[in-house]
Amino acid sequence: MHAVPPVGSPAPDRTAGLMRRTAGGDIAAFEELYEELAAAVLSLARRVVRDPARAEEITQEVFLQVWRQAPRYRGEEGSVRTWVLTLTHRRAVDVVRASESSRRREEQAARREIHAVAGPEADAVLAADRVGVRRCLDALTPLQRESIGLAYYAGLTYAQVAHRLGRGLPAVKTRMRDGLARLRDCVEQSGGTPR
Amino acid sequence: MTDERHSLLGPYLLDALEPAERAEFEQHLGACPDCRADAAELRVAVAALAEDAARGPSRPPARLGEQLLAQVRQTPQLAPTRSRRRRLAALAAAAAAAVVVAGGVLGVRALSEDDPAPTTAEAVMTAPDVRSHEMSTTEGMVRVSMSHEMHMVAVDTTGLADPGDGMAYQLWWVDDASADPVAMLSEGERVATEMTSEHHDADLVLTMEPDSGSQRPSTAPLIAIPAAEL
Repeated sequence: MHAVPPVGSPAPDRTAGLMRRTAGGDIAAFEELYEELAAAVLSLARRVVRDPARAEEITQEVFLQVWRQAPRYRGEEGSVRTWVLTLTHRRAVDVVRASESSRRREEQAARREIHAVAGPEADAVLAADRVGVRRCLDALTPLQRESIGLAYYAGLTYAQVAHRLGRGLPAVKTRMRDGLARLRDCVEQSGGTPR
Repeated sequence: MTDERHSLLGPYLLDALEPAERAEFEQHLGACPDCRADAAELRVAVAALAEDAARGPSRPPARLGEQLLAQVRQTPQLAPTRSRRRRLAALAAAAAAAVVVAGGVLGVRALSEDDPAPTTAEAVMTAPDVRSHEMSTTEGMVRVSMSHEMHMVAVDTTGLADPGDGMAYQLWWVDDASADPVAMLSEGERVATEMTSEHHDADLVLTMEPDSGSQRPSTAPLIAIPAAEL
């Protein structure tokens, strides 16, 4: 197992430079960008869709989107890495919602994950994770944690989350927002602030 | 900030909105600098969730990268969004070219420095199943992109001329019975909107209107595409 890079790494300056060159149509730079980010994209996609083959398709789609949109990338939404992971999550969520039949399975998996916070890869990643966002998730109220987890890791809409948890829409919207604010405070306090 | 829509910030950042709601929220975000600042702050938390999930042991197989590069070599990139400077230059050129300008004054509307981030429109335009139509009009090129998988259509006015002071482009669904306004677009904006079964017999229509918006199209359509052809 290789060392876990600090959150928000590796080298934002390098990816920013690669992105600028990609925007100019430089395929070699795009290839380097892919090498830099592909494992993270694939892992995130897999965590949300849970199907390895589908996660690979998403990875390809996301990078094709990165290539096409590169000339319009303005860096307003944070680092290149953050932007690419945002695209990945969105695409993965769209895919999960499109495959209605598998939803129940994913929900159950995500619920397990939220409760037994340490996932299968936790053994390998060890303490690094527990002092990061997972410890911060533990610090949320149960309703905040479930609202965020069902939306982010299982791809449910907030209306579906509300239905699932038997709460009103305003309550869920508020918990998501407050939970994110608390999570941000906690993440920033523990150092490794992702950009 | 006090807007009801602002309460959707949490669901928006978690990708927990339906595509149509997401597009609508992004339009709201584009018009609300305070909301954008709030969003930027909370994105730190979402980025942490993403990083945690992105830390898995998955390694992409070599063939994945090879297939991707083969595709990339055949895929054109989107044109860059025109910068403010170039828009103003285009505006000046349009003014110079106008033979008759009563009073000779062409108002220059204050253009916002920070454009909205219309990511849903761009997602539609780059969707895997996208079908794009480049339409030539009297005001320039319009790009209409349809993703059946997303049930959304995106309209990109980057190639259109500035509609001028007090004017804007307005997008509609028009059928025999009614004209439903969809969105107002100033120069160079892109918008995504949902296409449902109720639009089956409608045309997607773009007209130039006063920037306060019209109840019904008041000028000749720049484009009118039957939904079935999207």
